[in-house]
Amino acid sequence: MADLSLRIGSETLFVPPVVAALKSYALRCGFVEEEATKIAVAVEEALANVIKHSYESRKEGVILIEADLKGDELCVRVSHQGKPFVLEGKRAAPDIEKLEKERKKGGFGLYLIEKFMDEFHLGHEKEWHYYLMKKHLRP
Amino acid sequence: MKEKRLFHLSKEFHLSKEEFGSDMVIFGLEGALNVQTAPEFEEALKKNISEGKKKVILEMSHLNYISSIGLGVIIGYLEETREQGGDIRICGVNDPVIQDIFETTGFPKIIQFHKDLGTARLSF
Repeated sequence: MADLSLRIGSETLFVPPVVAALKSYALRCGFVEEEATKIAVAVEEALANVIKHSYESRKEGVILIEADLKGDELCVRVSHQGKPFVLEGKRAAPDIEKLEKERKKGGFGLYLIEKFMDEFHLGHEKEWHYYLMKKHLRP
Repeated sequence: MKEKRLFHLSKEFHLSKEEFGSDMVIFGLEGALNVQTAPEFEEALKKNISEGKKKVILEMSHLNYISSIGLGVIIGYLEETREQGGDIRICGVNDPVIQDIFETTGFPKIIQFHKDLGTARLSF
């Protein structure tokens, strides 16, 4: 059983309280404010991706959020049963000039997760797909 | 200058609006621009486009959180404003994580950032 375990419906309404809980947990684990906020941003990006792309905004989907401190490493896992998300290699920094010209509003989420967390993997276990994000405490 | 108007879009995010002259508007962002509040922010900005204000400043000294959906709203609004012959400035960003997010995603390549409201106003 994870230190922090939450189960929410696939609705943006539930994202801010989950993000607040994760930030609070990160602070309790010893992360400084700035790093805890970065963890919060990464968790929001994962949740937003699951709601928009995996569940395609269908509210009946279920999302599990689990967080644990293992040694000096905070592990956050966001699991869902929607469409799996394919991640092809390390993401490059978004080409913002191109995004602006093409009027694209997306493309930053996964990049921010990779930027703000030390490790980021996508995986699956039984019927669940998951985002696994890790960040180390720094002295 | 017209009276400052406050829009309490949610408990987490407030937006103020001040108009200067016939063509400048300053939006003050306060709180968290996240997956829940960004759609409301987008709606408020769309109303401004219909009012024809071409010089837009987004003042962020009281903004304490932004995620990618907020960045997307700003890009969309930037394009629509430029199509109308206008432009946007961002000023007052002092939260270190928000500064990091703007820098790392390359926003300074497409939008002018200013330290404070005074220099942002003079930049038009």
